Amino acid sequence: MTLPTALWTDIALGSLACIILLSESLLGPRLRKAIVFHGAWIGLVLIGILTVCTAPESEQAIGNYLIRPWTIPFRLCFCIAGALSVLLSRNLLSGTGHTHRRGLLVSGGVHIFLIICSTLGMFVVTGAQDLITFLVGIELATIPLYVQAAMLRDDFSSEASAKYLIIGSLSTAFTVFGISYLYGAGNSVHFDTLAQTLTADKHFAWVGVIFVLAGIGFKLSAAPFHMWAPDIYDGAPPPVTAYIASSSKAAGLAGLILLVYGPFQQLGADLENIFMFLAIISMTIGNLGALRQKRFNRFMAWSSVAQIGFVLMALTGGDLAIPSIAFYLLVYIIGNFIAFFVVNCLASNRPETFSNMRGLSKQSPLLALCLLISMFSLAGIPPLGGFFGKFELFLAAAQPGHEHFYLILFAAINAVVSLYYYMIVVKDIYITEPTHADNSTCPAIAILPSQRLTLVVLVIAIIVLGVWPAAHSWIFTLAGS
Amino acid sequence: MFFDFVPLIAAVSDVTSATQNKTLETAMDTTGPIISENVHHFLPLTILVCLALLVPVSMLLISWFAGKYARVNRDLSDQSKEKHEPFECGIQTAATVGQADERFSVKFYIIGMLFLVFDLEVAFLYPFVIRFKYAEGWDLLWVLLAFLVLLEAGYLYLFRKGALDWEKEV
Amino acid sequence: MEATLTTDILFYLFSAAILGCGLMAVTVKNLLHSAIALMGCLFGTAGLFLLLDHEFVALMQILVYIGGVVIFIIYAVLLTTHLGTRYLPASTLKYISGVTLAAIVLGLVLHIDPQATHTAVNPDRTATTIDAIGYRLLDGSTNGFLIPFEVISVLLLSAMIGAATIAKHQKPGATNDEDETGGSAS
Repeated sequence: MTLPTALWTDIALGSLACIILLSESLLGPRLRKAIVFHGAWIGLVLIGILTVCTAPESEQAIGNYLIRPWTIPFRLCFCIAGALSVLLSRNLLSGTGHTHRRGLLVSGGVHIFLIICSTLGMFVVTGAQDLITFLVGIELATIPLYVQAAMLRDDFSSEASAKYLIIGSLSTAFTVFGISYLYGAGNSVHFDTLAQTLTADKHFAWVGVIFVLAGIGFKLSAAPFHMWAPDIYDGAPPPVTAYIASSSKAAGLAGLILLVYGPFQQLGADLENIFMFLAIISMTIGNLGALRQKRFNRFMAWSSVAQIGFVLMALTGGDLAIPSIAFYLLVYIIGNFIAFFVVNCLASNRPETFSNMRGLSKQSPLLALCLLISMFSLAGIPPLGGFFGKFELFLAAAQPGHEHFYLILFAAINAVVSLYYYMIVVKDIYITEPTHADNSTCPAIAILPSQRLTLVVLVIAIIVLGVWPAAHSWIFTLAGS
Repeated sequence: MFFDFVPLIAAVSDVTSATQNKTLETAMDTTGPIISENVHHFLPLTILVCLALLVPVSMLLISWFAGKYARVNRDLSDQSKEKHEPFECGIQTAATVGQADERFSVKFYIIGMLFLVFDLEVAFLYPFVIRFKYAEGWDLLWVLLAFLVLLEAGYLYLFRKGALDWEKEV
Repeated sequence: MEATLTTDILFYLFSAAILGCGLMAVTVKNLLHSAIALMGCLFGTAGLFLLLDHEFVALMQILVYIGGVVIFIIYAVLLTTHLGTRYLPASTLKYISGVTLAAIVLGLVLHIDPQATHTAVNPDRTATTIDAIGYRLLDGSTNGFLIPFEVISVLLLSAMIGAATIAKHQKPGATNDEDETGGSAS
């Protein structure tokens, strides 16, 4: 059996998971900790590089598994988010001499192992060529997250895990129900066959389409399906929150694109209307929710709902949609991780409320600057990566044949609204003077050297993605445009 | 009527062996006999299921009626009162005395979970075993090994962490 | 399917069992009883699978769902303090919204169903034997499901490790135990 080169990454991920688990169970405590942590993030970075190196020129099929060129930037995103999540969990692992307000992770090795499993699931989603593989991939991408959300010993963590499990099971049930209807309407689970048999005049197919979209909507936390996000973002351990916010969304989007340009391709204009609706209410509800938050993680959850709205807007567009979403996701993941790295440092000795972030610029200029750049990027202020990400999304929605100018106008208004609440964060860290009560409860902020280095690298990356056109066009070439 | 069991079971196993004798050709074009056409094959099974439901239900009902009779004649001496107590090998356990919704140890949960996972594994191995008959070359073995090695790595992990150690405090 | 009187009767019998047990599972106040009702519901589903000539799926429905998942749910109920006897009343508003939502979904499905019954059922549908399932599950060609088969082992592995890790590290005296991760894996 000869294996095509594009499959190497998936096999490498599976092997990495196996190696982590074996070293967790067989090695002595000191060696184990070093190998599990460093092995995992280095391994994920290497797999990311391997993904780009083995990127196929055209679609490469291995049985019913199909490596599509456009999924390569998405796969890169999963690897980057996985590696960053491992690095972010550094101060929650035992044996680093570090303490955290919420205690340490129940089992660091299992946590890291589950990150890799989840990443493998996302890879499988992008390679799916039939609904069964698709479902298995989505399940593998989310089930480890339920466990990871419960990895801290406090009640918030358990609560977040329980809620995530119930909502996640519900969304899976929706997806499975929808898949059964798609199978009934299309007589096949294979994407190629479904692409021909699912036509817009088949009412039966629409039940399936709507239920599958609802199931994926939960994973994306797009607007009518977003209610779980704030509680889970707040309760889950910080690295898991960051992972859910970035990678899980990216996987959902990759799955959505896969379906829209695969089995649903004949549904065309009606599908565009659905995305338009989702985009509009996601942006509005996300923005309204984010305006009145007091806790940082809840704020990030609502802002992510709004961000998903912008991405869904691009999906109403034509061919430019895929590369622009891929680029936006990369920028969004990096921007998100900068924010979560900073807040994770803060959260190690105080609750992550906005009032506790006042005066951050004086306590730690580096962290304040990083958070500033992250907020600017998420808000879409040039010359950072976030600006070009959003710009491309608008451009995709305005493509000839898909001119949704009202939608774009609406999105532009929402972008301005979002600017307001991102600036509130900046105001809190730079301008608002901490009250006496805030100040007395704030001990010094400790940053681990590895996390400081990662932060610097991420900030450089987000600036480079904004100002260096080659980086931008490289992602576009990868996505096959 | 209970004597009907023996031919029933024979009929059920007849159906099973009929499916097992399928050749590779029919397996390949994913067809087989339509069972619903001759649904009478499954009639024995249906009757068997009904009987299986009937036996415990009738046992419960009989004991209920008999118990009613016993409860009526409760004005007896202390000695025969003992007869009405639940009995389990002469020891009073949680199963015989007290509420049925006793809290279980979390150990049962882990064992139950492991059972479920390996139960599912068997569910996937069963079609594999059937398929294995027609295998050519080593490919299928690697497929199985990849499947099993991952799961056994998990088993090894749990073993090393003492998840299967009943005595160990969890 | 070749509709005979027997299959029709059996179909309605099983459907009634599914509906009745399903309603019982969500309305009965004792959680243990609703778990038992769920069991009946799954038995009915297995019967329907059998009617559709999918004997393997029916077998697995009984082996995995009734033999595994429901038993596991009962464990989870018994693990918690008297969750089996504590009544969890739902407010009238929740009842109304739940019933309305169910009615909307039912209406949607009923509205769409009559227009599409002729396309919904594959005329070429034939019985699926265990041989056929085994063949397609392990087939490396475009028609097979080799990759998901392998990925499922990772899925099972992560569910197993995750659930054991959480269950093993309970806080002393913790009362809330909600992580049935293994259950959702199936």
